[in-house]
Amino acid sequence: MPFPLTPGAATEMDPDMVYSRIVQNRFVLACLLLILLYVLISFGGKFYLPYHPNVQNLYEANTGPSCNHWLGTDYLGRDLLARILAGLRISLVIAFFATLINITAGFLVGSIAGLSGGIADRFLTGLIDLFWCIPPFLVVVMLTVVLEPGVKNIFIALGMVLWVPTARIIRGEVYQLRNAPFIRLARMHGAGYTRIVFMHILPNCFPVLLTTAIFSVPDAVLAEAFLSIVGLGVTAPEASLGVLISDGLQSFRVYPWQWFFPVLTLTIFVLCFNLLGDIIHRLFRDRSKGILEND
Amino acid sequence: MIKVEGLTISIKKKAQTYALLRDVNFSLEQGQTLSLVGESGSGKSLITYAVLGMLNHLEGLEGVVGLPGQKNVLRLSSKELRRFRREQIGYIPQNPRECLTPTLKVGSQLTEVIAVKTDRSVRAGRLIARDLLQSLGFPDPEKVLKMYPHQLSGGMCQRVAIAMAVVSRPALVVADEPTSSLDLLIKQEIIKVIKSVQTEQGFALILVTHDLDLAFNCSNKIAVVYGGRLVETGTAHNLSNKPRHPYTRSLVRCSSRTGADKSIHYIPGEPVSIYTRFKGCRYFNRCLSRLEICETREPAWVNLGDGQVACWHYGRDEST
Amino acid sequence: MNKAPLLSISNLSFHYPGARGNRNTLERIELEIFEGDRIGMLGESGSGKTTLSLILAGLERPSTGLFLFNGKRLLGRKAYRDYRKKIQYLFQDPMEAVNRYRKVFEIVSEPLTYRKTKKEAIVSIVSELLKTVGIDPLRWHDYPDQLSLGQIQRVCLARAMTTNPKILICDEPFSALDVSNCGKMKEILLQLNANHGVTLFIISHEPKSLFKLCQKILVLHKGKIIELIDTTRGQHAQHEYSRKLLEINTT
Repeated sequence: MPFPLTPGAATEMDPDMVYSRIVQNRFVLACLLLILLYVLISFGGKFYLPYHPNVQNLYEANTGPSCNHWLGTDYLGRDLLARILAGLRISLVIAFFATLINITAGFLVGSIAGLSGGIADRFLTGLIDLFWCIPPFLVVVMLTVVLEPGVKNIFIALGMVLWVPTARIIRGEVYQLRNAPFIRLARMHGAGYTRIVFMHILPNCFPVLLTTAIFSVPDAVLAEAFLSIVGLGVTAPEASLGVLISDGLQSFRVYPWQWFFPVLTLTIFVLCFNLLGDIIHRLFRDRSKGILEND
Repeated sequence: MIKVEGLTISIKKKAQTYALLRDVNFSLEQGQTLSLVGESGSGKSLITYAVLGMLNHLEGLEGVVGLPGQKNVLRLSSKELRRFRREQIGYIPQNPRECLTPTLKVGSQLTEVIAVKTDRSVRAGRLIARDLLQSLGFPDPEKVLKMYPHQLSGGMCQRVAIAMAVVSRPALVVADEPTSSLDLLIKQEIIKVIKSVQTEQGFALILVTHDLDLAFNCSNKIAVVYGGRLVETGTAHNLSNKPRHPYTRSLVRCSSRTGADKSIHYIPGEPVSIYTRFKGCRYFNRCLSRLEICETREPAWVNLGDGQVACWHYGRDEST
Repeated sequence: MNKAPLLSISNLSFHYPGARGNRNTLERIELEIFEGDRIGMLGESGSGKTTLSLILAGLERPSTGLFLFNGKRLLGRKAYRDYRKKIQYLFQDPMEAVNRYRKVFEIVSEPLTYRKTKKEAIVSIVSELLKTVGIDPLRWHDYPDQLSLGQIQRVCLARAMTTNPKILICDEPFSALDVSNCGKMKEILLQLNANHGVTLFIISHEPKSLFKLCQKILVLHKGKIIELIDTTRGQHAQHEYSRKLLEINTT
């Protein structure tokens, strides 16, 4: 007697459903759209903006928002809108590469430490702890001094500092996973570390990695902004958002728009990423929601 | 007398309505034991959560759960609910370590629970704890009270859980698979302990289990749950000797009692999830004696005097 | 029938390095396993059954005593690695034993991919095994979260059989399964034993399942073998402790 499949028995918990739920979530889409908008506008700015960000025009210095200059000009007469978009470009590039280095290094170090155990683990954990203890900005400052300020060096420096918490988190996850039967089985079957890391550890760490990466972008941008305010950021005449904010600070009382618009841009950008990260984190966490009150 | 009538739970997920529990009815006298038997995903734990008042926040909750001297549990306000949980019910969890915080000593946790449940001071609570543990079979209660949970064995933890559950002399105790995480020899002891406390205090006991043998051995009544619905209820004697519903019959065959020979029985297919939207009898896919009507209409709940059953083979309800 | 035993253990003792106390986890175990045997291990927690199964799986080495495979001692890491290739281990919790981010077909194919088997061979072997364990082809591309525990346990079984092991060690294979499904698992295990000649070593705390499946049952208590029950001669036990364990049935 043939027994047909139980009708309509799909569960609510398969991994695919979480990812599709994320993609279908309206807030996520809104944030992603905003970010995309930011990227498009800033990188496309070159083509449609009337003013070049570095062209000075002392006659129009320090003018407020007007039809000519939508967001006003700075003390050298440079169009603020163009400057902000250029700054955004630079900040995005920095944030992107810094995050890339961050999660790559963090994931590799964390998973090697977590998987290998023994001396390698102790050594790597010691390294992580060492870096953790040193105030991160000190490291960045030292690195920028040694390597010369410039966009490339900033994101190298940032990447080298930001990987530490990621590695810690990943190591924790991997340490828990390594005793899982399916990983033990893979080892028993003779799988090498590379296979285990990429086939098993990575998909299982993906939620954590994704949220870490998303939160790391605003971290990098803010870190770079801080560096710029301190004076170690991007060199003139290029300007990142941080430089713009720091410049704007000086004339804050007299020409507030020079500070306000860069800050607004930065704030929206950071908020966007933080919101995105928060929602995604919550969606992953709520994956197996039950029916009881507090679930 | 504990009475559950017409307990129904339905929830909406993404514009679809799922009927998780449908029309659950049973009654239980004080001092008696009812076993809710079912497999994973059958909804038996859901029934107990409803009875314990843990699902009152759900919109699609209907029915009446009546305890002596209480109005419908499902309609209690949160203040009344808290009082209800403190005084009228006890819960023994599946994993005994669930009820103990690993970082506090057993004594302080137990006395705190007792103090809250019996509305006494902590010092009085400690004395009660000591006596209670002694009556539950601990030869040296003081020593146990000073230990941390990880120093206790599974059986000992379960006894502490039992103590927490019965201290307020509740009307109803729910034991959710209390022995499934315990060792073979300890299982028996714990059941004996629960039963002896029941005889002494006289509460009604609902025992949730997937072990049919256990149910046959220590309950007066058995209710078999499948797919979010009771498919049969009756006395333990009747169900073990002449089970009516095809599922009960197959279950009895699968369990060990009749398996003294080396034959192996199983029910082909998988237990149906309660998140299904099948319109007919949910056992249809695996039923060996299914009829055409079983595919399209859910069987009515039929009272046969010495038990109830939901199957089209008994009492046809030809309402068209 | 004078076959040589597949596995022979004599005077085996084991204690975990760094464990406190004088008591060994396993004490003077004597055991002979022949090819095609179905052996059960009964015991409470703390009796040493997990440790013994780990030693049998080649994951731990005995502290003292002889451990012979096909009449030869296992010496050195290479010998142990080769031995481990002939053993498969089935874990108690099926959900933990699979990577929830991989589809059923990939999960079963995994051991073969580690051995660099050809793709066509993998497909045919895996399909055959999945059919043997009774997983509907419609489910072959589902994720573990979409299957019931019983089905996942059978998927693990299929995965274990891909490498044609000589010995299959099952650590409480039925404890996570529903009553209505255990039978199917037992039936498949018997089938595999009869058709593929796999030697079964089943650990369980349920005597009834072991009686149905195994020819011999080892009863362990505090690291020692209390008794070896021969089930072909009925369900009796002679030792008092074994009797107590079996009596749970008949209250």
